[in-house]
Amino acid sequence: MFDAIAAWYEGLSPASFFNFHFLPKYAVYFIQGVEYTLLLAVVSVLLAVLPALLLALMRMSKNRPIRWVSGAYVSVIRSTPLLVQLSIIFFGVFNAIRIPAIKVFGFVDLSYFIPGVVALAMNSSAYVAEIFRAGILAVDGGQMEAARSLGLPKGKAMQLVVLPQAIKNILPALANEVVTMVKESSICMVLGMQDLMWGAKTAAASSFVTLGPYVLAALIYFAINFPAGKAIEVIERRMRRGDQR
Amino acid sequence: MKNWKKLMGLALSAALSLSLLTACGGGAAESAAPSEAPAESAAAESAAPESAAPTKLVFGTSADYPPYEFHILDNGEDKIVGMDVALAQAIAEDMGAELEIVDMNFDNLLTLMAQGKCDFVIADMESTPDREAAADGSDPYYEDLAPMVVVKKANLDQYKTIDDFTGKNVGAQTGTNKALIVTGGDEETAPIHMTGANPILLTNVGDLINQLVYDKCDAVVLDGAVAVKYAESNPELAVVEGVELGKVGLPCVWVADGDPQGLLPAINETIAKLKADGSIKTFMEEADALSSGAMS
Amino acid sequence: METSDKLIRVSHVTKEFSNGAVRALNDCSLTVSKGEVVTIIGPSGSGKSTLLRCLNLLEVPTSGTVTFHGVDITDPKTDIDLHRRKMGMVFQHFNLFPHMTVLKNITLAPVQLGLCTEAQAQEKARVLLERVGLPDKADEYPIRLSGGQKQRIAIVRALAMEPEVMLFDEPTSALDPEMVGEVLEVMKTLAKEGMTMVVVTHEMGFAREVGDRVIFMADGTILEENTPEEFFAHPREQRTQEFLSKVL
Repeated sequence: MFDAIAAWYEGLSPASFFNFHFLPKYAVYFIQGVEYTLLLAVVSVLLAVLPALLLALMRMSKNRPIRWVSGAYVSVIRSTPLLVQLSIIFFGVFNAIRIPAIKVFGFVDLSYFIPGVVALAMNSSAYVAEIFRAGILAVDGGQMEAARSLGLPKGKAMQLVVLPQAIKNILPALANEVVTMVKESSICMVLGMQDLMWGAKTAAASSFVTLGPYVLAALIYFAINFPAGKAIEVIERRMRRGDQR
Repeated sequence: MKNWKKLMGLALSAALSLSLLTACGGGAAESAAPSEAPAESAAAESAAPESAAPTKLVFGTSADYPPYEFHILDNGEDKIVGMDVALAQAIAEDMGAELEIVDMNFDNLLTLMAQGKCDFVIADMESTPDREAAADGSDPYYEDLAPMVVVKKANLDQYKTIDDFTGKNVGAQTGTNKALIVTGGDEETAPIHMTGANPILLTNVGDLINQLVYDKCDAVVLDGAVAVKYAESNPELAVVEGVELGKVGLPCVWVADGDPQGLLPAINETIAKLKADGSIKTFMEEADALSSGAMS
Repeated sequence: METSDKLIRVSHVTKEFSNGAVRALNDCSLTVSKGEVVTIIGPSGSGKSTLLRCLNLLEVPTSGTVTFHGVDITDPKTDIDLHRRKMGMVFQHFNLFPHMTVLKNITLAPVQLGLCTEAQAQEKARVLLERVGLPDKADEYPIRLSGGQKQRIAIVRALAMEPEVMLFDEPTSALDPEMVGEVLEVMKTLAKEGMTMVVVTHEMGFAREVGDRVIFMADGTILEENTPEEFFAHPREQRTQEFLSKVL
């Protein structure tokens, strides 16, 4: 029985879904790839937080031009493909700004990683801005009124009263954005960033096993995102339970 | 399709070289802060062609194409090897420069070089009029097998002549002369080409093979050496015999348009030397052996 | 005409919503003197809350002016935050800050605005909590309090700014009936101590006993204004009579 399975596995075509013959030799591409992918996702969302908050506050401003600028940015980002944004940032912005090819952690080349992270963060900030806006709007309007009627200026009222309450709505959505970024960042492979998808491509090219690496990559993406998504759901439900005025 | 892509690439590089120029205009200050540093290394050198021989050469390639350039793990350490890499090393050595590799999608290589992010490109890239317009090619360094068609072994007997591919889905790598063989329409680069084939153009060779195995396309046109490798490694696949797809492949080393750094003479010298003493052949054999050992 | 005892003066205030589609206030004028308790009553939708919210500019009048201590606070150049410090406001739905303890709710504004130190603010807060009968709730979160307790805390929060006038926007409407009394009790005490108050309310008893003056509103207009005795005994307008016959 076991021998039969072993024989079947040995005889698999290089283009079979179940052919993992590239393992364990090429495992390191996947391990480093996962690290690179997580680094891309987490760093880009973290970088997106401050600009996103700024965009959200601009969007809710009374001043029409300020509102327009923020709205235009969000619309442009949301209406163009990430790949296009990535190419423009990589070949455009980071043609004028040169990042030296310094390697951190032994495999993350900053001259690739930084343009990638900046492009992803610029993309993410548009989506996170909407998360912030929704989170702030979900806070009862009476909170702002109460704070203002005590004489607190708008900025202080936002910072001390509204935002701390909005965080509760925002955090789960922000964690979901990281999960989204784990998947979306795979596009960076096209420009040579050595993420999980790049690891799969490289293992496929070098080993002539052309499909198994992608199946493995899919399994790894799932193994990261599915539990993460579930955990976020649980936290979200728990936070909502304490949600009363 | 290919021309459109090239045009876009050129337009992009043109726009970007402008921004590069402005960036360089700031003067060659020490690049302490990356955000305001003018172009470093390669570009800084290209801005001063009169300067002495470069101490560092950046070599662009697309390392998913064994045996020309591919990743291997040498004692767990990721390395880019292949015959093009060996050639690049020889070129750098002859110039007394240190070699650095930039690994990038094939489509983007010339754009990258136009931006000064690499000094030369070697990626089994043959001369075409479009490429000559965007960059300068060296003398050919190798006589590759002519392009070949890979099909499923089970369907091998359906394909006897080039006309048998009419109405079939035929795959090739985007932006290569193999793509022109499938699409036709460029008599100069691909005088022998298919007529009425339905082109499936992808960036990645592995993805093309997947399409073939899973019957999304009926045949794939590859460089001869690559075709033979895939047919060897996958018992389901075979190379079509007796279909002539034109001349041998003649890959060159590419430098930026107009050779601003004046690298070409030295590169051609190295190529001539390596061809004469048989080193190129050795490079290919070594690369082949490394690639065959890819699974062990 | 400007006399020193006129704390608030509302002149010909009109308020429109939805670009003029809805007119919530129509040419309303009134004055509030120092130490006076003015109650505003009327059917729902009559504009009484809107009028009250115009007093501290939570609603900005479409036209007309509101002066506080003789300063036109509807002038965009006026720093409204400075004037709001002196105008406490209590809302129908309390609007306590749920992420802060009771003590923090009370001390937040005085400390943040640099009016006193944290320690001073806490000391004052505890005195005020004592006065409203909730000294043991200082470290609770609002979610643990009953509606009546929340509203008393909200009053304390406003008092902590040492306001010159207190604005009440239907302070007992969201409360269960058994809790109305405890809140009215606190308000009565305030009135007795001489606090200037403007109270939008449905509590006719409060208007009659505590108020110095009653204002009746309908359809965005001030219809009638009188002392409680006169107002409830001899309503002049037909709308007022209809309204009183329904609520009394």
